[in-house]
Parts: sequence; C-alpha cells; structure tokens
Amino acid sequence: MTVTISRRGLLKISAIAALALGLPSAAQTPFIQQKTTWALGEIGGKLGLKSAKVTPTICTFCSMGCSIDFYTNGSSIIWTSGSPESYINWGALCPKGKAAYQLVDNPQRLDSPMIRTGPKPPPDEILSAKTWDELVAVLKRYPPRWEKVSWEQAFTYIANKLAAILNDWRSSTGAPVQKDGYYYVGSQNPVMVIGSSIVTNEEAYLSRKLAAFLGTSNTDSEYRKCHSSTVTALALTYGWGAETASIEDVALADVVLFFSNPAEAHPLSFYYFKKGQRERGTILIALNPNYSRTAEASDLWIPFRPGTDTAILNYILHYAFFERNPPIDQLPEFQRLMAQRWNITQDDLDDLKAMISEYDAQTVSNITGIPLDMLRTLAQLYVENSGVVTGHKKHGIIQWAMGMTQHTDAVLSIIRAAAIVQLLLGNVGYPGGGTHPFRGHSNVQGATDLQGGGLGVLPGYHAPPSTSLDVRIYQDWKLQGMPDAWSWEVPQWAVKSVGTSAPSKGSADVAKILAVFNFYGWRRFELLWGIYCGTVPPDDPVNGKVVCDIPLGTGVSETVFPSKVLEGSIKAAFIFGENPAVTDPNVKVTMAALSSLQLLVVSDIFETETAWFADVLLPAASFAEKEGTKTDGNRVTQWSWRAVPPRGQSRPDYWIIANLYKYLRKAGAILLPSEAAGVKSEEVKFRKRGQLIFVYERPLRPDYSWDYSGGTGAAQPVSDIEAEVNPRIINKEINFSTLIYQGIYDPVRDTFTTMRRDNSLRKPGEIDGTFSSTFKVYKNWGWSWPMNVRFMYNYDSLQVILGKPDVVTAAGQQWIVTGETGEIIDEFTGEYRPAFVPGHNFFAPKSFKRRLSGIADLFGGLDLLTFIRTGQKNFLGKFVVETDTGVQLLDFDTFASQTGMRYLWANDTLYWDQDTLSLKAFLKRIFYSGGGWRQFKPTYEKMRSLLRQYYQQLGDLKAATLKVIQEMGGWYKGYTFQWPIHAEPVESPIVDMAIQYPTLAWLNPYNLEVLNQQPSILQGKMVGVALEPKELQTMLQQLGINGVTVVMTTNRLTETWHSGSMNRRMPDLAELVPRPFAIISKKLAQQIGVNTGDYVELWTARGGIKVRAYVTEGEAYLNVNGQQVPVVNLLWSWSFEGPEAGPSGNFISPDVVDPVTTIQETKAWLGVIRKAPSV
Amino acid sequence: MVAVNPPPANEGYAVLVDIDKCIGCRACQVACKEWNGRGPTETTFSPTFTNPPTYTANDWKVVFFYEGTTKKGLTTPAGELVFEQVDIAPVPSQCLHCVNAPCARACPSGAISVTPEGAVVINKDQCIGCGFCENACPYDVPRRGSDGKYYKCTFCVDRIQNGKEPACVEVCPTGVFTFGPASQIVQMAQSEAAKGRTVYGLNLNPYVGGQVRWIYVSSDRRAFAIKQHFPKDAVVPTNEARELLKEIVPPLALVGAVGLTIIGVASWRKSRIEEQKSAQQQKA
Repeated sequence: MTVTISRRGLLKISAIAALALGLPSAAQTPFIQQKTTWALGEIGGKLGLKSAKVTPTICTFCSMGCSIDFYTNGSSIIWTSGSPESYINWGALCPKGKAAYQLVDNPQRLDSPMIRTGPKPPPDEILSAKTWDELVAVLKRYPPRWEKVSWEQAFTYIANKLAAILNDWRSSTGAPVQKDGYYYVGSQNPVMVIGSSIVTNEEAYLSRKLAAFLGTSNTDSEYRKCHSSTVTALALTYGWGAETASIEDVALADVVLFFSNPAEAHPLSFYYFKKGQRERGTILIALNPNYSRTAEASDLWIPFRPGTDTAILNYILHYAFFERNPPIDQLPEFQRLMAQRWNITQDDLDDLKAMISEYDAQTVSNITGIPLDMLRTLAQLYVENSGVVTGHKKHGIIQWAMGMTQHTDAVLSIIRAAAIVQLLLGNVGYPGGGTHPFRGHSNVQGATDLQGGGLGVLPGYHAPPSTSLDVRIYQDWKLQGMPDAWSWEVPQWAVKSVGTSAPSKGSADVAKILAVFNFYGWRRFELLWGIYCGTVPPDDPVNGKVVCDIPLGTGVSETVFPSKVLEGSIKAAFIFGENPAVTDPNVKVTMAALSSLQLLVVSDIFETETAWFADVLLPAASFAEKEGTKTDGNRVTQWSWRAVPPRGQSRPDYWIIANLYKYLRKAGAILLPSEAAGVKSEEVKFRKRGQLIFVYERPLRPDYSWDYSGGTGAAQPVSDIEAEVNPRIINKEINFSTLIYQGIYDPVRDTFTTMRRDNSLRKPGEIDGTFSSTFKVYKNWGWSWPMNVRFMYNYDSLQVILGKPDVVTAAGQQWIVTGETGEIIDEFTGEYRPAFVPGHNFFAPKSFKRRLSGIADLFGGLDLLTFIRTGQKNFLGKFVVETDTGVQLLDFDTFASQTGMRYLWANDTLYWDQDTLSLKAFLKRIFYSGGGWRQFKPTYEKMRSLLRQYYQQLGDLKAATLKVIQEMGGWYKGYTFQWPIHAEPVESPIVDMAIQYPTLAWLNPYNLEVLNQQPSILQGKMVGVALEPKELQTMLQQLGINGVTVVMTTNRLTETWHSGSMNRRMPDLAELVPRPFAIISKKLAQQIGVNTGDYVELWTARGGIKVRAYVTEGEAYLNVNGQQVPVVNLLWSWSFEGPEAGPSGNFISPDVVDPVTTIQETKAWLGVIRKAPSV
Repeated sequence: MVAVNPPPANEGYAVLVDIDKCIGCRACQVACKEWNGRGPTETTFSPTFTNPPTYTANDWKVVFFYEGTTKKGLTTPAGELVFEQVDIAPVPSQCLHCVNAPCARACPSGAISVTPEGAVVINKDQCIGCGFCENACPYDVPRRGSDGKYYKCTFCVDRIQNGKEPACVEVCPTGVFTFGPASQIVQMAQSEAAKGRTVYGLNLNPYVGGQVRWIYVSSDRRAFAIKQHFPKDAVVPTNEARELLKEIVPPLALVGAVGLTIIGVASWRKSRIEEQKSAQQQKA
C-alpha cells in the first residue's frame, strides 16, 4: 500500500507542524505567575523552624564529640544540624551525625519491656553451622516470641530469677562468708555485667556500681574489643591509657602516620587535619592495606601486611639510631629527655638498640611487604620532622585505631612500639606530637573511665583489693588518716605486698604511689556508696575480720566471657546497649553462650542480634531522649541535653539501672558483705602518737546511695523521669567518687562545668592562657580530665617552645608555669588555681599530695551522700590536729578559720608539686619475669630453631608449638617484653615467618583453649584456628572447597557503624551502603575470575560466608618475603536482624586474644577466597 | 510567554567546590535529603561505590567516586618526590545552576524559575512532567519522581533567600564548598585557574550561559575525576538544534501559516467560484 498525500493535505500538515515547533517558545503560557520566593524550610516541610526550640546533644556515633542541635516543637523533631558554636564540629556533621535523628523516630524502636516466651536456639545447633546461611536458618527457627509487659513485671521477673541464681550460688559456696571475713571474690560470681560504650557517663558509672553491689567483678564493655590494648599499653608507659591530647593537637603536627582510617571513622577530625595541611603543610601518610578515604586524603598510601605494625615502627627507630647521621641518641635534646623524662639507663638504651638493630630496612620490607624506598621515605619523613631532631620546631603524630589494637601482640608489641617511638622522638607532651588512638564509640572513653576499663576495676581506674591482705593494708592506711603516698608509713608487715622500696614517711616510689591511688579510690567509694571496706574491728588491721563490700579481685573479660558461660561458671548477664552477638569474634561461640545463659537481660533501643537471645528485653531511651555527660575520644567531657521525651515506654538506662537496683534489693538478689557481717556503721579512728583517736561514726547507707530522686539548684530535674532518677545527682556523685573526674561539677558555684559551651581562647595571664592562645586550644569548652588538662604530659612545652616560663595570676597568687597545668578549686579561696604546677607530667594525678593527710577523712568528713542530693553541708567528720600539748579534735568551722581552708570540702586539699610531678615515663616496662633483650636472645634463637625443627619433623605447626611449650617450660619464657618485637598473627600467611617470629598468643593459656577447641562443646565444630595456609587448605579441601589463600582483615566505612544495629536501621545511611562486601584487588579478581559485583565465598577455619566483591586497584596485593600475598578487606557491620541484614564478618574471624588484655585478633587472619559457585 | 530572565553571571550567588578538600563522607548527600524532606531510595551494591549510582527524584545531591592512577607529590628530607599511585576521588555533585539554564528555557509550563540569587528551581505545583528539562540538561540532572513531576537541587533556595548557606555547604566537615556572591566566587575560581589548578564551570558553552554557578576546582592529582565526571561540552546538541529551530521556525511558521491561509482562502474562493459557476451552469 502506498500512502498518498494530496498537495492540500501536505500543506495542512506543514502548517500544523510549523505551529507546533514554534509553540514552546512562542506560545508558552504567557500569564503564569512564577514563584520566586520561598520561606525558610518551605521545600522540605520545615516551616516550624523559626519557632522551634533548639537543644544541643552530643552525637551518639563516634568519639569526636560533635554537637548536634535538635530543633523541636514539643516532642516532634523538625530538623537537626551541627551546632555552629562547637569547636569540634563548627556546625558541620558527618553523614551518621546528620542522619542520627533517624534513630529517635524509628518504626523499629522498642516501645515496651518484653519477656521471652519462645525457646532459645540450642547451642549445639548454632555451633554446628558451617556457613552463615546455615546459621541464620537455625536462629530463625527459634524466634524470641516476645510478650509485652509492664516495667514492674519486667523488673520483678528479672529480680526473682537473679535472686534465685545468686542465692543458689551463695548457698552452695557460702559467699560472702570467707574464712577470714566477709567479702565476695568477684570472679567467682555467676553474673556478668556488660556495656556499654555508648551510654552516658552517669549510666556507665551506674552499671559499674550495680555490678559491685551484686558482688561481681565480671564487668566489661565494648572497649575490651576496641582499645583495651591501647589503654593498657599506654597506661603502663605514660601513666594513662587515653589519647594524650585533644583534637586541636593534630593541626599542630608536621607529619601524621595513620595506622587507621579517621576520614571514615572520625570524619570531623579532618577539620583539624586539613587545618594542619593548610597552615603548616602537615604531611599525611596512610598505612593501610586498603585505599581508604583516609588514603584518599593523604599524601602517601603505604599498603602493608596486616599485623606487621611493630616491624614498621621498629624500623623507624632503626633509621633514627643506625641510618641517620648523627644518630638521635647523640642529640642533646634526646639526652635531656632521657635524663629527665624517661626511666631508662644507658644500659637499657643499649639493650633497646641491640633489639632495634635487627630491624633493618630489608628485614622489615620482607616482613611487611613495603618496598624498600617507601620504607625509607616513611622513616625519614617521620624522624626528620620529630621534636628531638628539630628542637621541638616540628612534631609527628601516630594515629591509630582497630588496625593496631586488634592483634595478639597489640599490648606487648604494637602499641608499646608506638608509645616508645613517640617518646624517643621527643613528641610526647609537646603540641603536635600527641599519641592519638582515636576511640570508637561516642562515650567509649567515658565508659572506660567510669567502669575502670572493666574486669572489676573501679571507676577512675582504681584497682579493687586483690586479696584480703590488701584490705588489711588499706585499713592501716585509714588509721593513718588517709595519707598521700609521701605521708604514708607502710607498716612492716605490708612492705613486701606493696612492693615499695620507700616505705617510710617522707618518701615515695611508684609502687607506693599506685597503692595509695587505689586506697584513695576505695575510700571515696565507701563514702559515696555508703558501704564498708576494712577490718572489724577497725583498730586491728592485722587480726580483725576483713569485711569488704567491694568485690575482691579482677573478673572475666568480655572476649573470654563466652567460654566461661559454656563452661557453666557464668549463668546470668546484663547487657546494656551493646551487641556482642555481632561484635564478638568467632561469633557463633558468643551466640551459643548467650543461648546458654539462665538469664540474659538486654537493654537497647532496637531488637538487636544480641536481644534475639535475651530472656528480657528492656526498651532504652535514645541519646536525644535523656541527659548527661559523654567524654569524647580525647577526654573532653560535654553535657548532652534532653531534646525530646522518650518514645513509648522507653526509658533512659539511668532510670532502668536505678530501678533495677530497687527490685533486686527487694527480691534479695543483693546481699552486701557488711550486712552479712552485721556492720551498720564505721568507726573512723586515726592512730596518733601511738594511740587510736575516735574521729567520728559514719553510718552505712547503701540504699540511700541508690536514691537519685529529686534534685535542687543546678540539679533541678528536667522531667518527671529525671525526678525519679536524676542524672545530675549521679554526675555530682562521680565528681566526688572518681578522682580523675573531679572538676566536672563545681560545688562552690553549683555549676556543671561540662555544660560550658564557650569557644573563646584563654588570654595570657589566665590559667593556661598562654598555652590556650598560642596553640589554639579551647579550654573554656566543657571539662577534660585530669583537672581540665587538654594536652597531657605537657610538662615544659611553654618553656621549651616559647623559651620562657609563663606567669599566671589566680586565686590571689602568681604561679610560674612551664607547661599546661589544668585547674582545681583552691581550698583557701574557692577560686580556681593551677593544678599541676609547673605542668602536667606522666602518671599525674595518680601521684598527688593531700594537705589533710593524717588530719581528716576525705573532703573533711563532709556527708557527701546528703550534700550531692540536697546541697546541705553537714560535716560528720572532725579534724585531728596535733599540738605541742596533745591531740585536738576540731570541728569544720574551727579548723577552717584556723587554717583558712574554707573550701577543703570542694577539693579534698589535693595538690601537686615537684615530687608528685617528677615521675618518668616507663619507656622500659617489665611485663613478665626474665631478662632483657640481650639476655633473652639465645633463648629466642633456641625457641625458633626448635620450632623449625619440630615443624619439619611433624609437618604441623600446632603440634610443633605445643611441643616447644612443653620442652621449654613455657612460651617466650625468660623475656620481660621490655621492648616490643615483631610477632606474627596466630594465623600467619607464611609459615617461615610464623617460625621466625612466633606469635605471642600462646603466652595466654586461654588461647591454648581456643587452639584445642575447649570447652568440650566446641570439639569437632568449625570454631578453631588454622596456624598456616596448608592447615586451612587441608581443612577446606575436606569440604570440597579450593581457592586462593588470602590475608583477611576487616573494616568499617563512613556509612557503617560497628554492629550495624543503628546504621542498618537508618534509611539515609542504609541507602548509601546497603549490604556488606569484600574489597579485593584487581589482580586477585583476575586470579579467581570475578568482576566487581560478583559473589565470592570467603572461608576460614570458622566457616564460610558469601558476599559481593568490590574490585579496585586500591587493595593490597603484596610481595612478602618473595611470596605473593593478597589482602582482602571485609566489611563486618552486618548480621541477621533488621531490614538490611547480611552476612556477619565476625562469623569467620578468630577469637584468639592478646595475652595481656584479651582483645581479639580480628585484623589479621587467614582466609580462602573463591568465586561463588552459581546456584 | 514566561520570560526566563536569569541574573547576570556576576550577580546572585555561586559555590566553589574544591574537591581536593573532599573526604568523600557523603554528609552533603544526606543533608540534602534531610533538608528537602526526601525519602529513602532503595539501592543495591554499587560497582562504583556511588550510591544511588546517579541522581534520583529523592537524591538531588550525589557524591560520585572515580578511581584512576595519578601523580602524587611529596616533599621529603631527601627532596621532592613525585610518584604514580592509585587514587579514588569523590566528586560531590548536584545541579550546577547554569547561568542561563537550558532547563528553564525548555520548560513549557513555566515551572522552572530562575531567582535573583541565580537558583534554578523546579516549582512542582507547575511541573507538568513533560521531561523537556531532562532532555535539555547537559548534566543529566532532573529526575522524574513517582508523582510524575520532576525534581532536582534547588540551590537550597529556601535557605539562601533566608540568610543561610545551602544545607550541603553547612554540613561539610572539611569546607569543600565555598558559598558566596557570584562575583567573589568567580574571582576565586579564576585565581585558582591562574595557579594552574583545574577548574570546571567557567568558559563553558553559551548553551548554559557560558558559565555555571557551582564551579569545581581540583589539583592535578584529582583532575582525572573532573575529566571523567563532566561532559566534554556543556551542551545537548539535539536540544541546541531545537532551540535554534525555535528561533527560526516561529516567524517562518507565521509566514507559512499566513501563506497557507492565503492559498487556502484563494483556493476556497477559487472553489467557491467554481462551485458557483457550476451551480449557475446547472441552473442554466
């Protein structure tokens, strides 16, 4: 058919077409009124902004401490944004902070307490799963089947069950009755209290207090698994385990080594890193097998084999001592620091250098897989920009996180190496030279501080009494009038136990200082918790009965907890705001343990994976629905205000814990040793001139110490919930009970210093004014422990950098200072005066002096229990004053007017002088008995050669290891570990390396349990470790799996957060990274035949998971000791719960742990990768 | 006709986007959604890491990631070191707010206005969902939503008209975006260009008005991302041709229509005459 168009038809069509073409421009709707102005928030439905109430909160994600302003109308959230005035985030936020409001109004929030009615997944079925899919199938067969109940029903249920468990334990063991008195041995208690690093300081403190009242030392938190190795290694070297300086420090550095990924994990830190780059050209170097977003922002990316950090750090020192000219130990500044600030002798230095001499560039290149020239560049950049080389014109920072901490040699080697490099290069204590382990959770620093770092340690890191002898020594100390270390006469019978070489009054050594630090803590807790620890009668420390409400000894860590449950020694657990079912290594063992508990109580805002195993699930309030303080990663404590009321029936954890106490008490779950002993009060007596003087009687009021209702003055409760349990009263309690937190409340002015939001710099002449204005440090914002010091160990930086001491006028006096002093309330004037004069130094304030030593109880015997609740100042105590004629007992008013110390109740008359500030850093630290490096070297060689010999004979590294342990009577026996040496991870990719640098893991018997698959329920399951590629390959071949052996490591991304329980439920974050994947190099992808987005299987000795591959040039494929070693980075923040579920990385990670702190080795292990077979 | 009367390039506001400062955190992407009240987008694994892989009606701002090999430089104690290494560069992107926005010119319903600030805004009440803006955009920005209407970045017009920076600018932790008067921003961009840095957004095709209001700058190290991200020429040739035709066709169409009418009338008259003639003949 042909279409014919007539001439006229064509003309018509042409006309229409012409008109149509012309229409858009020529005939647009001509009279429309275009909209050209908009009201604020009109587009996104935020018109209520103008009349909104603005409340600052502290972000609940990372530890930077960013402020988020909530714009609200009643209980509804209109908008959130970074607080413009915050010196940390200056109005900015990262995507997690920006989306954090989605945690509050979230359809998945728990709105009611719930009790489980369904059976729990059987542990044996859980442990038998070989793949993630098999595990999920098992778990989903046993849903919790929650029944919603009232708070009263939930508390009653918990209290009755726990009372039964504890009474059963008490009746079977006799506890708390012991042969020499009344006390609990904390590790034997069947209760574990876990969590959390995300709750407020007040909540963390309360959970720790609850554990003490339950009589357990089995306390721990997320910090076990993130920075316990940092805290321990740094505390044992510098005196404190925290990041040494606040965030402003990073902008003052000239070179930064990132063994970490802060651009993703702590995005706002890059405000200050970029400031440094801009203002002084800071060189940023990213050491990471993965081309992270930190590598993107850095000048140089150095991919290296996970777990070889010590070798890199030791090579930096090798360069400094043996390659550069002159060597650093010939520099005058090195010699000054060695004489004044480090604890080493020339012989020690020689021993250290002998060890370092073995880490030459070639050796380290072979270990790490870093090419020689790159290694040299790294060492040159770091050493030549250091304080010791430049005379403190330049400094370098080592910045790290999980990449360094989660190894079996983290404490003894990796972090000690970082701490030592910083000391020897003259960086520590000088601006721009901080040692910066960035902490993870928003309040992990605070929770660590206020739970004492776990294991039954008390808030503020006061170790509990380890034996009843400790309590006797403590009682004698009390009789001496609670003296500081210099005023304490250690009784003859206690000298050996204290381990001091300076027992006499007038002198002190570290052992004595640390003993007094612990005693001082116990005394504060006795006063604030209304409990007793001492002897009965108090007059007779040697022979009296020991009665102590503080549980004795340390307890179980969180990583070891699962095996204790499976063994049956732990039967009940409280988990506050933590998700170990995702965050623990080898997670099916944890799941089996959680399933085995007789009682598991979980408090959280969502039904987490851990909650899946709970008996009772309590709905907690989110961060914006409660108030209190949080301590950021560099110790700055800030107040977070309540923006909206809790959703549904959810309640803040402080409310939950304080109420829990009441029900537990009523049900008889809590029985204090002092009650069992019938002690109702303490007769406080001081020994003076050979006589015992009765000072006062202190009633025990444990229940009153749990009454946090009401509140006056600055502690007016902010709502009905806070009127029942007021965090402001808890905050005051912390101020008085926890030495390092002294200062968070100002009792003279009745203000909470953590509420200060003043971003002005101080002026010269003010306390730390020159420091603040010179180095741009925001000291008027919040409060920082200790005593508002921001850059710790900053003893003489003003003197050294500015060339002269500074003069400060405060509390009516002039003070000559050389570094940062911090501030403390003055007992004479009530004004602030410099605290650490002339500057903060190592271990301070563990070392302190006290004017009231021998004169009065702490805080002059003020009734603190009443004071923090009502503001009333009743002095129960008296002041024992010796005169020529005898001993006088004075009341407060008389004593205060005679001495002028009218404010002694505010600061307990603590002060610091040259004695207390002269402690040196423990550059050399003894961990085990034995000798130094040179002495140990022959034994080391013997150990290596035996290991090689037995491996060759037996063909099995595990058998060879066990044989060496047996033959040599131990592992690494004879080395003090005074210097860090490289050691391989338990699962080493190169057997030669595993023999040459034997893992440190077997120093801890727990790891041998893992090696031998103990306890018995683990036998025959896929839960162990493979010590070398051959072992893993053989194991997997039996399952029909062949692939390429890789080094596995794990990471998070900016958009993901730890267990994922939060970010996976936040739509704006889930959208960015919805599912986990494995990051693999292009070379490895070609080897196994996958393209980006294809599924791969990852298999380890613990089982297999299937995830997509993300293929990039930005992932390490290394040449290690002549062998090809591909590295795979696995995103781990997923599991089986919630809308965005996915395989859990920890399903396949190993649960071997660091010998000192039991942190797990989740950053370097062995896997086999293959393309997933198509189904 | 709705006159699209954009302010001159040196008036209104502009933003300098320094991608060297970007750490790829995507706070801007989230802040944009939050401020504009846009819901979540269902996504899956993204092979480029960019997620969603491009703009959607709910994602007006997207950070695009580009991987490449590039030259890096470092000052060491031993001297300057230049070496090749992999790099991944984030490019936070949104509507560039062309100085003379082709989308606004293309919109038949007058739904796209250009404010005195230079913000190119789709007013959804007037959007008819025709998609002309999508066809006209050289940067592939406007996206049709589930309600059939088109969406894109508004330059946070409801913020900048009320004394606030755009939400993405405010949230950025590292100061990637400098928001300010266009004259000042353009000058900054020019001085960055003079320093030898790569600049995108000035001296573009007249199709976009020769310039855009979101101007990108980067060092050599990340220039590969700029090259990959932006089109070679800021123009949509088919739409450009259409616009040219538009200029020519209407007068021609008028002439044509008049001509046709004359022809039509003439032919009608002719046929009428013929009809009349034949009628007369029939009568006769």
